Amino acid sequence: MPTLSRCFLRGGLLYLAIGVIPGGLILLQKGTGWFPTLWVLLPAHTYLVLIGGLSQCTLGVCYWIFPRFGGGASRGNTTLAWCSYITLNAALGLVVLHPLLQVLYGDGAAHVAFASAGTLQVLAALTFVWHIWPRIRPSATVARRSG
Amino acid sequence: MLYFLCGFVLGGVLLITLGWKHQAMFGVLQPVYWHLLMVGWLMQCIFGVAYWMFPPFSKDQPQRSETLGWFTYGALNLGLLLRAVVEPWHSLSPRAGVGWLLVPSAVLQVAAVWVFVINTWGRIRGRRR
Repeated sequence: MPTLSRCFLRGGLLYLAIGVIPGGLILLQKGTGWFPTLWVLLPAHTYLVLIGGLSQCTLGVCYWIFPRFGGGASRGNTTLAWCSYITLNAALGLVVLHPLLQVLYGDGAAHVAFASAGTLQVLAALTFVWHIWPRIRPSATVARRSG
Repeated sequence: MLYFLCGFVLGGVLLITLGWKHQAMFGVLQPVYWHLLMVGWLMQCIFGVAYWMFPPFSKDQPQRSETLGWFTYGALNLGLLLRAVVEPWHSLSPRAGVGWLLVPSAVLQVAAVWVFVINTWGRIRGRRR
């Protein structure tokens, strides 16, 4: 498994493990009625599980197993895929840290953090699609068999 | 795939009942609908594929611990099914006894994910030399 896939997958598993905790707490709240303020964690739960966990795991497996070039020697433009990993995790970091930024520097800092996270998330998606697009094709073995 | 089918059917029902007089009764199914799709289908497919094709942990234990793998499967499904029944029931008639059943549901689902992460972590590695 290539290094970048390992980074995506380990990051994905960590975010999944962290992201289910607020989800579990919200479900406990629903059942018991305790601490209604726990519902403020709902956006964090969905963001961490869907973007941080499931998306990163999917991207990691795609990078690993999609068809390669040059008889399996090259995965194409890997810089783009690395850019995607870095920008996605920077976005996740900003979302996770935004309550701290809000406490330390006020609402303005939180808004800037969200806007930056949004921009970085878009960049992450664009760079990964740019990297993976040429790899969505029949593998060399299949192409040889059908040709 | 069963959760995929159930999730899509439930989503279809929610769309059909939009604007109905008794829509609120179906509206309580919204969280169940999302979790059937995201946890029951998407997450479970990802877990299944990872368990199958990630590099073997060792020659003797390719899947690391099969017991932990089965625990993940059992706990995730039991927790999700419990939630699918109890959550709408509790929303429609909030009685303390029923609501408390969401506690084991939450614990089972969180435990399933944590056990999966622990069991899979050692299998994320490069080619053995």
